[in-house]
Order: sequence, then structure tokens, then C-alpha cells
Amino acid sequence: MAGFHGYYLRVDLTTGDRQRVPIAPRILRRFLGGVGLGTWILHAEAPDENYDALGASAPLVFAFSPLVGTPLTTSAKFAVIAKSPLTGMICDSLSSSQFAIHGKRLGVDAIVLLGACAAPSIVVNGEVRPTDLWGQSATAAEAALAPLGKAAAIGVAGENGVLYATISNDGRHAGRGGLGAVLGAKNVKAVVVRGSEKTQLAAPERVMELARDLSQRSLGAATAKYRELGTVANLLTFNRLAALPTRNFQQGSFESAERLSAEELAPVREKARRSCAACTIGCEHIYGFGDGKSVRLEYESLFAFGSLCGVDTPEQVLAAVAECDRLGLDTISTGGTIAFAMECRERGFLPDGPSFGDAAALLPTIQAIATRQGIGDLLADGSRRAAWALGNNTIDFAPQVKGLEIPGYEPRALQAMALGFAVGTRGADHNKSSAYELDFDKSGNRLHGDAEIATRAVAPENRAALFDALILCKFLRGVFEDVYGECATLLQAVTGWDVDATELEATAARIVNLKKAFNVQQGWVPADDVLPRRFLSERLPDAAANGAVLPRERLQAMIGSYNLARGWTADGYLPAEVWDDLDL
Amino acid sequence: MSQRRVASARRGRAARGNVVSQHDFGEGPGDRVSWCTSARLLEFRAAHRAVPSDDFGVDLATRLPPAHQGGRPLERDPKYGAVLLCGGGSRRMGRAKALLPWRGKTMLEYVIDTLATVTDQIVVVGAPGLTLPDLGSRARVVEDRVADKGPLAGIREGLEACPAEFAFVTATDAPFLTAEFVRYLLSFDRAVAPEVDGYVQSLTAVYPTAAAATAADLLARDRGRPLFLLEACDYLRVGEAELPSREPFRNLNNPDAYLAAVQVEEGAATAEVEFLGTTRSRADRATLTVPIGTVQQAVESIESQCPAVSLREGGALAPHYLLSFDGREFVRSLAAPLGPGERLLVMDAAAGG
Repeated sequence: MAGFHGYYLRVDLTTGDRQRVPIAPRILRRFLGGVGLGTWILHAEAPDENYDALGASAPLVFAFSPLVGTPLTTSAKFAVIAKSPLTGMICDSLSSSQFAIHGKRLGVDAIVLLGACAAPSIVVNGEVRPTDLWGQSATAAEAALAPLGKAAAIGVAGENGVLYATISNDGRHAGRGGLGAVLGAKNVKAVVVRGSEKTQLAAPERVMELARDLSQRSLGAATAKYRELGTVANLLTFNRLAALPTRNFQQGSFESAERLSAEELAPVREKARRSCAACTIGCEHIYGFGDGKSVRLEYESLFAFGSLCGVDTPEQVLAAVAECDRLGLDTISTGGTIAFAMECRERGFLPDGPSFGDAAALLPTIQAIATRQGIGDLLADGSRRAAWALGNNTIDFAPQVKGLEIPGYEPRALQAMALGFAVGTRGADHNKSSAYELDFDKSGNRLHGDAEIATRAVAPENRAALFDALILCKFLRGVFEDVYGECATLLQAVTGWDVDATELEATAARIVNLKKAFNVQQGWVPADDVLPRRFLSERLPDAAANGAVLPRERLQAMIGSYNLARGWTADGYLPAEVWDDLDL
Repeated sequence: MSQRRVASARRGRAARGNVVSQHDFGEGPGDRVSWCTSARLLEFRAAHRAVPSDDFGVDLATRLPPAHQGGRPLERDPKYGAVLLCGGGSRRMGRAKALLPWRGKTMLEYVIDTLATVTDQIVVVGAPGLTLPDLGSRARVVEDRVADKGPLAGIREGLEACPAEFAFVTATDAPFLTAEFVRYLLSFDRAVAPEVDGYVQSLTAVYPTAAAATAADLLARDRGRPLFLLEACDYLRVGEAELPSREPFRNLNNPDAYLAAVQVEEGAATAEVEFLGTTRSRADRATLTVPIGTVQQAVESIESQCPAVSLREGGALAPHYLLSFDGREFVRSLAAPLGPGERLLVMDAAAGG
């Protein structure tokens, strides 16, 4: 079968049993790979409704995709899918590089872990083995396991069940939603892969031709920002647009943004530029700090420990990012939860918490979280649970949706994105929605979301679902003139299918439906699609925001329009015909 | 018109249907229009000299609003309010007129400050989706509930929200409006509209707020012109000769008019370009000062002074760049004006990451 192996590997960690489970070609055609296939497997393997995300029966899926292993640029990616312990909803995170290539060479399109090991273990090509790496950083574990293959590992945070712990590989992370805690709960330090079974391509020469063309185009103006400055270029721009979350979303601009900006930092601190395996863009910008240390810096990490915490010293921000990488923590949720604690302290609800602008408090707080020591035990469960524990209506300013901390896009200043956060199946998420593109469309009004923009938000979300299933990097999105048509051409060459743009559009929408279906089965209700009260009632004070706010009624109207545009009921449930199409 | 007639008109008893001129008005003279002659202007001027003499009769002196007596600040009368319409698409200007710089403020803020010297009861009617600067307690902002229904829909919203008995209605592109003029029209205590160049100026007029229901009725019957509401209110038409000034009717509807007016006001003013993202390293600078003009001219200045920055493709802005006026509004048209003291942000269009 070209492009796929047609099997997934099911590993029962409790018994050590391994099983190659066939996947019907129809399923691959309807859900592709990556997030689409992974979510389908999650549905198939999930034990029951409302199961414990950290329980032994909870499945954890590593899903590869049809394009992995091809010379197509940015295709060396995989998805990790499970029920998030942070949100109780689906979590689909992506990561890149050699783990994807070597994992698919095992001769399977996905690996599913079920059950739990009795003692700390590693899983090597599906075989459960004891390990003495418990307590090591993910990086150290990867290095130690290198002789066995490419590893995706957890750090101390995952071992300690921090609800936003990551799974890391090759210096990258399946970062959001606490998948590292899921792996840690199974007593698994790392999943190691090394295979030799290459996937067939239906039209190898055509694939090469397409790959050369795509690589060439990937070096054009559409990706210049990522190549030249990386995602950190967002910071100063967002600051000018009052879209830079500052001091736990109390402001949309930070007075010291220039000090933290890529424009200022890159000339003096940037040490190198790197890329994932099989990528021509090279968006990874490595910054130096401390005594010869370095760290890959992304906008989301920079904002989370910079403006969001009111910290204006690059040295400490970079150190905080590196510490999260070492311990295996999602920087967005870590920064968001710390910023929440800072506001709680400011308001007198958490006297022992850190203060805004206290750069020296970042590292100790991060370490306390990863080890669940002192206040870290409270913060390790994320801002929503911390707010529930603290009471006093602190939930009104806990920076999360469905429990997932909000990334660096101020919802009042980017109101299409605000909708994306509210309806996102994994919570406040920028990568799955991509609705910020509508906010940056000069014909719209980013400060005033409405029903029309809500309807348009479906298209970028569907496109993101397609990219996450193929898998291709979303930084390529500006390279394509006809995304669905061109992706159909790629799939034709790889798989031999007679797929076309229309079919792929339906597939993308189906994958979004599939994720929503999982949430519905796990207890989602319409009230989950909401933003914290702060965004619905407090005006954004910055001049460039023109006093923007997103009243609850307007948000609800947007959500209703979005749901109807998706073919769902107005309150967001899936109608019978959608369930029928999913054929679960 | 006799003195008696003037006083009568002020009390709202002017003869109805007394149309002096029947020429083709822009808004079209209605059948039931009261007319006011040059004697009205004499009244106003007399009031400003603070000499309510016997020549003008006791009636005049007692009925003129206080500010007419010597031009002192008007004692605020809750009877009077103002409605400011911000519903236009500003298509000819190429950007929201409300946010244009004018005398150190936005145009919207400037007009509000003018109105605020007359009344505290200001209602701003914004088009659906138009986000206005935070006006705090200076004005109540309401949204035009129905888009693209024309100015009468906005007037209706404003009248409904205004707690006064009479509302001076104006649009946001009235930078030459004066408090004196507002007081003049309000002093009639009735529906009143000036006629200038043969056009009834229904968007620089006074409406009774009780007419909101009538406006709704007209809209329901697809009679969406403000003049229909004025007619229904038995309005008083004030001739051009009677007006204290024509200046308030100078609108700035397009970039040329705006830039010419700014040139007169401020001379050789400048704006600042700020480079963000990849353009900063290419420009090898963070900012660049440019003369005010259209965005097109600013872009030409940028490309001329920073040769490594190429913002256009085929004459239009390249799709991978975005421009913004001070972060408040994206540039939609290169023909739009860049005002004095403004900051033009040059940024990468790709937002994700």
C-alpha cells in the first residue's frame, strides 16, 4: 500500500503484549494520517465515555502520516493524541524530525500504548523494558537511548504528573495538553523507535519533482519571516497591535517589549539557525544566554515568560525557557499559570506567589512546578484547577479555555482568534484554529468579531486539520495558491489515490468532526465553549485596541454562527448525519 | 420677516409650508417646511453682542439660550444633546475618517470635544463592526443595529439613546464644526436644518429625540432619507444667509481634501514609519520620518530611502506585508492619507507561530 503500511502497533504496557492491528484502506482514505488517523485510533481504543486520562486504560497514540519518509519538505512530523489530563478533552499535539521517520519505518502507521507498566520503563520498538533513566531530563534520556534508536521522552515534570508536561524529541516537543503526564502515568520514560521498512511511493519520480518544486517555493517571501527571525518576530508586531498578552492579559502591550523583541535580541544573542529533519525553511533560531548556554526560542515561550509575567530581562526569560525544556514543561501553560499566580498575589489571594516582573522568581517556580513542591503542587495542575482551589472568583481571570492556557494572542484584540480559542476542541489553541489569519486580513476588523467572521473561521481550521493529517508544516500555508488542489496532487503521487480537492476538503471537515465527536463522548457541553469573564467584560486599555471587548452575547452569536457553518447544531452538537459519516 | 414672525418661529409657531424657494434642493424641499429669513441672523448676531435690546424685543432676550448672551460658555441644559454619526464606510477616504488625526486628536475625538462644550449628552452611533477609540465618559456609544441602512438608521439609534429633548445631529467628518454653530441651531428648540448650496443639510441638523419612533416607522416603509424625518418633524429650514458660518459644512471626504486641510492647519507636517519584523533588518533602521501624504507616497519614500525594502508587487502592496495606522487600523488602500504625527507600521503579514 503506497504511502501507508496499513497497520498500527498496539502495545499493552501491563502485559507487554504487542499486536499489529490492520487499518482498513477506507479508514486511511477518510482520515489520512497524523491527527486524523490518530484520532480515529483513539476513538477505536478508548475504553468508555468519560474515562480517566491518567488511568491505565487510557490510550496514547503516536501517529505518522502518508508524507513521512518522502522528500517533501517539512513532512517529517508525527502526532501524539490522547485525552488530555489538563482539559478532559482531546489533545492532539505535533512534533517533528527523526522520530517520525524512524517510527514509520517500524512498518506501522501508528503506535498505541495501553495499560501501564508496573515500574519505570521504556518502550523500544514496542517492547517494554525496564529503565534507570527515571529522574533524567528528556534530553539526557534521548542521548542515553540513542544507541537504541530515536526517542520521544518525558522529563521530570511528566514523571511527576504535571498536567502540562511535554513529550520531547530531537529538541522539539509535543507540548500542549499534558501528554507527558499521560506517558508518565503509564510509567514510561521514553518511546524508542528504529525501523528499516520504507514506505512505497506510488509515483516516486513525480514525488521527487513535486518535492523539488515545493522546496524551491518554500524559500520565497511567504516564509521569510520564519527563516529570518522565526516566530519571535510576532512579539513586537503584536505589541503594536495591542495583541501581546501582558501581565496575565491585563494589557495588550508591554512597555519593555523592545527589550525582548527579535529585532533587538537577534543581532546580539542569536547563535544559530536550525531546521527539523527534511525541512528547507529552518525556522529554529537558537539564542545564547548565561555562560555559553543556548536555547531554541519561539514566540510562545518568549511571550509566556516575558510580557505575560511582566519580566523584561531576556537573560531570565531565556533561562526559563531552557529550564522548561529540561524539565519537560509546556512553556505556554507554565508561563500562563505563573502569570495567573502573579495576579492572584497582586490581588491578595496567593500571598506566597511570585510577583509580576520578578524575574528571579521564574526558575524556582518552574522547578517547584516540575517537582510539585510547595506552591508548585498547586500550579502543576494548571490555572483552571488552581483557580478552583483558590476561589474568590479567580476563575474570572485564569487565562485558559477548557483548562488549556491561552497562547500569545490577546483575544480582545484578535477576535476571530478569540472564537477559535472558545470553540477549539483542545481548548485555547492557536495552531488548530489559525483564525488569527482572519484578524490579519486587512479587509476585516480584528477588534470586533461578528457572525460573518465566525463563519469564515471554519476554513482556516479545516485547512489546519488537513495539514495536521498529511502532515505538513503550517509555515508552508502561504506557499500554496490552491491548498486543497496542490495537497491532492501530493497525495496522488504518494498514495496513487485519485483524490481531488473536493474530497480533501470533505476529509478536513470530517477530521474536525471526529475530534469534536470525541469531546462530546467525553462529556463536552456547550458551556465549555467560552472565554474567561475578563475578556467578556473588561475593555483592553491599550490605545491601539480602541477599547475593545468581546461581550458574552456577541461571542455566543459568533459561536452559534460557527457551529451552523460547520453543519452542527447551533449549540455545537453533532447532528445524526455527521455521526453517520464518521461511522464510528 | 418681522420681529414678531421671528419670535413666533422660535416658539415653534412658524407658518407651516411657507416655502420661499422652490428650486431643486439636494435633499428636496418638503411640502411642510418652515422658513427663516435674514432677520434670524440679525437675532443671532445681536445675541452675540450681548445686547438683547428693546429693538429685538423681550421675547428674544428671554428665549435665547444663555450662551447667546455674549458668547459665554453655555450653561448646560439637559434639554439639549448631540448625536454623532460614525456609520459611513469612508470609502472615498480609504480609511475610517473617525480615526484620522486632526488638531492633535482623532477626528472623532475632536468633534466630540467640540460638542462637549455644549452638552454632556452625546451619543456616538457606530456602524456595526466599527471599533471606536475608548471615549470613556465623554460619550455613550451605541451600535447601528442594522448595517447599510443609511444615515436615518443611525439617527434613529442616536435619538433613541439620547436622553435630551432635542439632539444636534452631525457626522464625524465635520472638523470645522464650532460650538457656536451648534448652539445656534439648538436655540430654535425645534427640528431645524440649514440649507447650503441648495441642499438641505440633514446631517447637520437638530431633531427632536421623540422622533425616533417616527424614524423607525419611516425605515420600515423604506423611506430612509433623513429629510423625510425632518419633514415629519415639521422642520424649520435656515437659509444660507442666516447661518453664522459656512465653515461647519466643509467636509473632508477624500485624501486630497484632508491633506490640503492639514497642510493649511499644520504646514509641512511629518509622519513616522516604524519597521517591524523582517523589514527592520532590511531597512537597517527602526524608523523613518516621511512627509504627510498618501500611504502610496510614504511607501515610495520608504523604497527610495531604504532600497532593500521592496513593499510592492505590481503596484499594490505585496501580500506578505501589512501596513497599519498606529496599530489601530490596517491600511486597505495605498491612496489613503497618512496624517500628521501618525505612525505607519510596516510588518510581516504572516502572523502565526
